[in-house]
Amino acid sequence: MDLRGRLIPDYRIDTPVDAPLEYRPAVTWRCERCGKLPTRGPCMCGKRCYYCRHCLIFGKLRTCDRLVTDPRPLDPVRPDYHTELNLTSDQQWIADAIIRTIDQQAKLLVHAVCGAGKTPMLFPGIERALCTNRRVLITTPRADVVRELTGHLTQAFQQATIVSLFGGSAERLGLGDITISTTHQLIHYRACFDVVFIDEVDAFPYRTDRTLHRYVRQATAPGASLILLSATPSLRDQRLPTVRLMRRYHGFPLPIPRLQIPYTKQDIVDWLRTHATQPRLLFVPQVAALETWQTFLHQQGIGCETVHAADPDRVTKVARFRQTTGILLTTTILERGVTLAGVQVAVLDADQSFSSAALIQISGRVGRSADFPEGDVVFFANDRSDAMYEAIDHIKRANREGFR
Amino acid sequence: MNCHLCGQDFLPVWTLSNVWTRQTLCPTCKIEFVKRGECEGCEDCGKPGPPLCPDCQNWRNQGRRLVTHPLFLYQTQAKAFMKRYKFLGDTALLDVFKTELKKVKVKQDWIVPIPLSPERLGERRFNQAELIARMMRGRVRLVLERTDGVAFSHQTRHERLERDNPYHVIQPVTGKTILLVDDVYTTGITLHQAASRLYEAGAKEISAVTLFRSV
Repeated sequence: MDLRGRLIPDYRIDTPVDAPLEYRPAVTWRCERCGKLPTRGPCMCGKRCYYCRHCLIFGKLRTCDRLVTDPRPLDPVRPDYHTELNLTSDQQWIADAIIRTIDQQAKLLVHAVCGAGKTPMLFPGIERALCTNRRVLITTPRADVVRELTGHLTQAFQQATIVSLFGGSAERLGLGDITISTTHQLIHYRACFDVVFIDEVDAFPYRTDRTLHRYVRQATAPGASLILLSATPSLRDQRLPTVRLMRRYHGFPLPIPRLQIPYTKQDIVDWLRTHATQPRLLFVPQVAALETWQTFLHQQGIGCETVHAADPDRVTKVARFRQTTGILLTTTILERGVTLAGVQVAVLDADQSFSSAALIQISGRVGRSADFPEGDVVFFANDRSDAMYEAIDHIKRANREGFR
Repeated sequence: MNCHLCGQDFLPVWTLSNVWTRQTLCPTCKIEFVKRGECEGCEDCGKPGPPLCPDCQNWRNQGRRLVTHPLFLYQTQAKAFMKRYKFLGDTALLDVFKTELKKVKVKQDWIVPIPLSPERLGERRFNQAELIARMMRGRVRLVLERTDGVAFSHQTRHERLERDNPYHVIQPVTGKTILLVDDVYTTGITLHQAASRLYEAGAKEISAVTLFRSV
């Protein structure tokens, strides 16, 4: 078991390690793994034993446990070159900026619209990192995005070892030349990545959960370069040096959402019928609304499927939806990281609980492939919200900037 | 305030009657715990259904009656609770049932939690039944001991009933009335085995309280 660059509880060691290991207490005044304050709990070791409730699902840590790491340096990275890319001049400009950032060990925010082709823009940067003996981490809050990125990267880099980590992944505690991971899984790593890409920095839960920021910070080696990627960065992230790309890779403008205020249920049915030949995504504000809409559409003779975050068949349902031209009712979990050719999008009750970032991301689902660069986005609402107008405004401004 | 179980942020509702209690569960989690009503279901084990379930009829026929009071039914959210509390070891989560456990009227001399085998205790490093017992108002005595180390949760019902009695009494209990405490009542075999050992050792009267009754 290789423990270099990892920090795990000593009871997790399953195979003997023939190396001088470094031990440290697991819980002091704080949890040494996640940094939160511990709670007192009964234990065989005595009365003053504390444990951490916050990172309990990664294994219980008590005062009487120890964390273990191997202090030896990691193996050098194997250099690798990506396969042939054809980037547009805009994308090439961003890729050059990323390479410069990696050379300077600096920080960078890449603000690129949905469908700008963020993933291929990373490849020259990753190549430069691998060739200069630096370990690459691509991390994102969403497990779906991890799966999708893994597919792209295994195609692009043939020689490098690529490890993908998410809850339930087979490669637990793995460390590759390129590691693709959810932010949660970084809890087991310490100071081992030299180039860190964070995709979808503003996605839930990374946006709100400060402990996840801590996991990423602890996993990065000193002097690492940090590159954030987003289509809707927060104002806090925009204080970093920023490069902007406001144009999609196929050169068509972003589709601008239409508003329908007020709307009736019949309007939804009509909209679904007009786009009958294409896959249609319907976003609803709450999980509870999924079922009411599904039963309503069934009464109208329209079959559809639903998907939400706690759905066990989420992955298979989305995979099935990719094949067909059906209707998928979803909550905001599909707002990012999914590319569906020729999809049409409607947001039901868009005035309720959708933030402007969510609406921009949802609108960005449409027209991503070069074969279907246009499509219909409608916000159905009975009231007006700032978020709706902000989103439309933002998309229009992006189009203006991209086609100046 | 964050819910102890699901971690969701929620606004506690304060009234005059609960200003001194700590609110630990969000309303959505709270309603998921189904309280067992006082007089419905089996009068011996509290199983929902007929007034005497076939299992308890069986025990009575053998002349081994044991009245058990489960506090809640073992359903969706209760399973989530047990997974976190017992298997992940989140012992602070038991605060959720603090008020309910304090309300249990204990007239017996001693409260006796069901013990764990030493191997299991060393692995888990706490006894979930003992923590429940210590939350109730009464004297907790650890008079039982368990010898073998077969994992509970991975056995079928048949295997459980066939098993030899692993418990034995390590302190004199002659003439005492005893309240047995366990976390989940499934077949009742555990409690009945412990009770029969205690009766053999001279205990006068035994009843039991469990946190959950599986349905």
